[in-house]
Amino acid sequence: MIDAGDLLPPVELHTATGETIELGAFLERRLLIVALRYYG
Amino acid sequence: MCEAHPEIERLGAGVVAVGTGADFQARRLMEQGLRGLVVPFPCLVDPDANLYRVLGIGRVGWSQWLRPDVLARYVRAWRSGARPGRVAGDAHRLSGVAVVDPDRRVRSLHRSATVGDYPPVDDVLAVLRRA
Repeated sequence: MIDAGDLLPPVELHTATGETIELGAFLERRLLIVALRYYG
Repeated sequence: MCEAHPEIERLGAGVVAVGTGADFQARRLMEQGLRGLVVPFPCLVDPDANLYRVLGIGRVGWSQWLRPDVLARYVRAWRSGARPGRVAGDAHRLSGVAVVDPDRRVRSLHRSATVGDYPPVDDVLAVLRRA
């Protein structure tokens, strides 16, 4: 578990079309990550 | 966050949403939207809760739903027109909001303490405005 000030380690997620993607792919600029409870 | 997206972009930041639900739900949000609002940023899926574990975002039991503040948020959301769809993800999972710099440094992190505990959008924008 990390905190503010730490480095985000690689995190594998899936796109909406099912491809695996590492979150760093979106870090070409500052990134706001909204982790929702679920998509309903 | 959708309404604030133009301002977030103006501040030089991108947005991704991550959910524990199904990919078809993420696609629907991006292609058809919700209540007339198409989500203008990527909606990703985290079925294994990889991101949630890294950020320390936990889970809660059903008893949390009986808390007055949670019920009040639910009623407020319902009155604003929100209607929960089918839960395909982890309904017990809490939420969180993080701002991460391009060098992967976590600039801010909000872990929800209970259901529906999101930081005010103005607070998030304030973090993005800081150099």
